[in-house]
Amino acid sequence: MGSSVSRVYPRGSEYLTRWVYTSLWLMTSFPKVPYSMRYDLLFLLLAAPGLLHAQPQTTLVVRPGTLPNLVPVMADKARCVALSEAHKLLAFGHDRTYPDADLSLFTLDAKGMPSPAAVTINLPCPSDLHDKKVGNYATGLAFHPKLPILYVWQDINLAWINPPKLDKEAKEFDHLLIYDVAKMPPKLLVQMCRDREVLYGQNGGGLAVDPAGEALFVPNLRESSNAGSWRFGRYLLDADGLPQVLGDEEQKLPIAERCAKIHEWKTEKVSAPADKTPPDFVNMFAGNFFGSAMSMTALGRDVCLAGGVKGIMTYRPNDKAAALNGLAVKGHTGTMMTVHPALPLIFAVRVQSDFIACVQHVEGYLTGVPRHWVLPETKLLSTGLAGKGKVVAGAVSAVYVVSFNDNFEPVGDAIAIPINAPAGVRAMVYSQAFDLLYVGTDLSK
Amino acid sequence: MTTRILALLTLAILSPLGWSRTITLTAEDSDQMAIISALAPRLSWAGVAHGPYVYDSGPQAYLLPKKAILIRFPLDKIPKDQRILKAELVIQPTYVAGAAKIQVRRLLADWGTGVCHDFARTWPKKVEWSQPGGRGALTDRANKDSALIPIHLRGEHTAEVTEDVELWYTGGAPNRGWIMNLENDLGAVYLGSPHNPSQGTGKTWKLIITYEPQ
Repeated sequence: MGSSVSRVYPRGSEYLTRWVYTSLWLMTSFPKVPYSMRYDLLFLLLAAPGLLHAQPQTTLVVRPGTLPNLVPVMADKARCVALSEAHKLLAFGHDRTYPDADLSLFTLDAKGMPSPAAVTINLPCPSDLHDKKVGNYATGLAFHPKLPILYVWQDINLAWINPPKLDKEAKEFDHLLIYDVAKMPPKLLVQMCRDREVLYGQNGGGLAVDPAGEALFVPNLRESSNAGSWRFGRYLLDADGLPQVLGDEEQKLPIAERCAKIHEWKTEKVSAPADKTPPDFVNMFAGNFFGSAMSMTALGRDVCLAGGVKGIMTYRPNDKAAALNGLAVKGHTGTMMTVHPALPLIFAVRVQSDFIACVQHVEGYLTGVPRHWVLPETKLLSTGLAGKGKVVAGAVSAVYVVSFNDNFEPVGDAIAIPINAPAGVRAMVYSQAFDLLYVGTDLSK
Repeated sequence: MTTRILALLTLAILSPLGWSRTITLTAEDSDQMAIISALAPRLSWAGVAHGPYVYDSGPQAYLLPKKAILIRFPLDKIPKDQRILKAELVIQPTYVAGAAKIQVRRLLADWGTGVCHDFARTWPKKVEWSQPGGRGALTDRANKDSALIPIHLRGEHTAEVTEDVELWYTGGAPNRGWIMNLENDLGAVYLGSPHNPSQGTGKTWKLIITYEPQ
């Protein structure tokens, strides 16, 4: 932990400093060093600037501090989160090792403070899988922006192999769940997305609804003919927030009948969405354990940003020129990202890396060269915003806050805030309306 | 002993004045890059098409007709009051087809965030190229080649770009980097992508600059 004075170093400067001081120390501290060797040292000292090789990244000093608008929420082993400002609800998904529930729903008061107790939900899982203690868990959550609807993407702890071994119970495992959260306890309206076009055994999988509530983007799909060719997709939503998968006449039925029809439809047909990313095989969707799209943000019904194993992707289902575009970010692991609501910025964290990547986009078109803001000796797991000019990154038992200026450059020290989350801070979300950052924390034992 | 001290002092005094230095910048030092294409006219990163409608920033950069690579190397590693003695741009094609020649020109337009085939930038507002693809002479890019690199084989190819680097370093023109495309849109050249942080092909793009104190 350093001083309160901000320092921004280009990579390489620390080596130069060490080089100069080491050389001077050797020159002055050892009287017995032969003069010929001192000449060598002098030469190396003079040549040092020419040997420097800088890289476009910024290493930040980290010091302990606080964040006044951080609200810890007691959601044990939280792994994903969604916020509905419209309905004042906060939903956390728990890891499968948490025995009490799969989801916790908190209501928010007029000031945005969460209720002390949560309504808990156990996600549906075929009884065979449940009996085998395979374990199901939510990987992604999203609220409808207008309706009291919560979308959940869940997975099971079965190893994905190629070719996939689809047992009967795995075939009948529904990954997409749609809850009516108008009243508590929530009511499960629809469960779907199963069988051979859906991946299982993934450690990640985001969900996203566009701001108008017209489309739901879902992760972890694949080509039915090729288990190694992954993709993600989109359902268009109807006026009640249900996927439009029925025929025109059926689509006019009351919601309860439509839910029943969707149940019939999913058991008769492949229930993956019709709109899917074009086949890519292993380039953007190289095999991994984080799913095809670990995090997602829908900018519109036709534009979705996603964090994948290679970096950031843009999916435009209706774009006949470039439906899928990728921009690599250093590393080969899952990507958790957050999209700034006003600036052309995406902040991405590569799971277990030590940097926040600042990536630019305009209307979802990825652009520029990612900038790396390094937080030394950290292993980051998640990212989010924390107010104007502040980005946060979650790690084991800590949240780090980095401030940035109008030129999208980090300013000042990074602030480290201890959080009771030994498995890591993976679930945090910022509310613009309340100017609060909600962070899932473990219960104190 | 006296001789050695004198030699040391002479070396110390003269070395900063008389020694030339050489630095090597790579695409990993670059602060602005893009690969634009007429086939995907809004993309900044149309480096490689993995399949129909799928474009990626890497691992390859396919230089095909109606495509261009834009790259800017910041020159702030060169200390003040130096004289540029030599600057060489090194690229390393991995595949060539046809009589391909890579045309390298200085960019004149203020390109940046959101750059693509149609626009020099799209943020904070949209600014069109004077000619799509940044090919407008004297407006988007210089009207003469900084270098023309015939590509016959795979491997390193070097082009002298001393005049450009000197111009940028001395402030004679703002450093907006280069645009590289196929002369007359003929042939095809594959290169390691300048932005490929996991596989490091950016290191195969080099700008080697030798300078000395004025």
